[in-house]
Amino acid sequence: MGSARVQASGLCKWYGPVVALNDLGFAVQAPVVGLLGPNGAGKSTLLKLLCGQLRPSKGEVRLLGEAPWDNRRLMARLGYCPEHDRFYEDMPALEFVALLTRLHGFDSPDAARLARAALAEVELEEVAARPIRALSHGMRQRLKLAQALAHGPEALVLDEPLSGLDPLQRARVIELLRRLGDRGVSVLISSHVLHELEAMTDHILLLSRGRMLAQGAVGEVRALIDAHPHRIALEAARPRELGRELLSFEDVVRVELEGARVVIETRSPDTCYERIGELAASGAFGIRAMLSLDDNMEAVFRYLVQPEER
Amino acid sequence: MSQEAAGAGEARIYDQGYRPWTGPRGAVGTRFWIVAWHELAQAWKNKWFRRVVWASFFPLGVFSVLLIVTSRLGGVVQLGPADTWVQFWGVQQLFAMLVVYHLGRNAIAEDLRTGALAVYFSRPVSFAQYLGGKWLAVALGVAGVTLAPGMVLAVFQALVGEQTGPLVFLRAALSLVVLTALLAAVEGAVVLAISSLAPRGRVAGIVWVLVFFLSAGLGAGLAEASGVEALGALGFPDAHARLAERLFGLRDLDVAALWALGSHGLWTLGALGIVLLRLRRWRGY
Repeated sequence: MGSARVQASGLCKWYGPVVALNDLGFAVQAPVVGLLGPNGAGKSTLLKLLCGQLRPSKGEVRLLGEAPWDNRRLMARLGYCPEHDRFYEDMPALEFVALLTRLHGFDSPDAARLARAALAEVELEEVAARPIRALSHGMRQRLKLAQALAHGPEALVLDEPLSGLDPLQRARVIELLRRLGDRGVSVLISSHVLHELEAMTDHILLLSRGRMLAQGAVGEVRALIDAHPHRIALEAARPRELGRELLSFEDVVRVELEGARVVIETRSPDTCYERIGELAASGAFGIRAMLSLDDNMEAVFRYLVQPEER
Repeated sequence: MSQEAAGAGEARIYDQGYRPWTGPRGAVGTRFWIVAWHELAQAWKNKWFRRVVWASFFPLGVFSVLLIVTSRLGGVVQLGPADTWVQFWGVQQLFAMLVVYHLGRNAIAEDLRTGALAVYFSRPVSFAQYLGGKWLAVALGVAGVTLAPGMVLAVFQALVGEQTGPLVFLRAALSLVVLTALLAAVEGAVVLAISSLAPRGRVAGIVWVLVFFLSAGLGAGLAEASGVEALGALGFPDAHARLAERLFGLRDLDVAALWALGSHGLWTLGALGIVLLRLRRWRGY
């Protein structure tokens, strides 16, 4: 295996007769990687394998170039934010983060200082003395993030860290994670909310039913899906005429009129973009704008995960 | 961004954001102390646990008087200091059972239920350090209610008893240390096993109390049914009492003491096996 930050080869994990992950293979060098998939796709299992919580049934997984299973040296470089948010309910937030930071090898004063800094980073310094039971769901989410951040990890593995956050907190956490990525911290984050991931990275791993459906930049992933039509929206002064013209293209399989907008589906996007460019340049239909509707995760997800719904 | 002084009119806002730690870290081997300290600190917040600890010192007064009586008036009351020590141990082991209840019931059950186990093991903490820390917390708690008051009594005996001097103290102290270690080993392991299987800490606590008393009933019942008195050592109270009688000099070391040691060993190994299997299952082996 190479020197990618996160990689897997022939990775399988099963619990008795239940196959959670099936022959996963990927290698990612991007600092922030989104792990996307519906519930039960195997996201949490993959994250637990990546941070050494579980041992692969078969195959290999590596984080920062090291196998995570039973690797305490790697654990010291890692921050993990689990999906659940029930901890020691009677423990004050600061004490909780400090305890977990001490387990990374810091003495008590350093751990308390780092815990305070991490709580400040997630804007929880004002509730640091409150017991965890008194924190709202959003605060607990940020507390989880603080305990993962406090010891200064090189890699962060975050399982659904944005769920339960209000839009403002969400934006701030997204900004924080992007900033961490810019500083060289490897961030692996799972979500089933597509636009959250899209706001942080364009590099995704798409899982469904324990198998890898796609990986790479959203645009690249979309380009791989030759079997599925690519949707393009055009705004034009004369949409009806434009739609009729586009229907004559042999690679256009569908045309919809939405007011001044024409939405087409094509199996050959490159060729189609070229012809639309020529039409726009001719000025024949008053084309004002063109937008690829499939350069977002929602579209990729819809195509790959829920084909039966189309 | 550096923190150099800004000149007048050059107000700056410094980036106070996240910075990875690059300083030194402690040795991996000390992690179990942190786990143990956390357990003790959490238990100490419970007023009932504090009351048990304080109450465990009350029998000291009674046994101090008894010790004087049995030391100086042995011929009259037909009891010696060894009897007093065995009775003292019999009382203190009940406090130990309560301490084990408070410290052990939540130890693993709540970590499993709340998912804290996943957070623990995302740190550089091994199974051995985790379990060692949980067990150490129980052992320290037990020592607090057996060894600590026992040492006070031993000092008292060495000062005012019929036989005084450091040897008297050393014998009592050594016996207390051995008995405390054995009690902590077996009861700590059993309560951790129960905690690892229970859905909640509260359930684990109830089961622990039942096991403690039912083991005594089971041992006594088997001994009576089979006619083999040594089987009584299957119960914790009986096994502790047998060992205390031998160590405090009331009886000579005999087969019954070996049965008690064997019983402790079986309980401890069985319980540790259960905990390890449970944790291995949690990790998806």
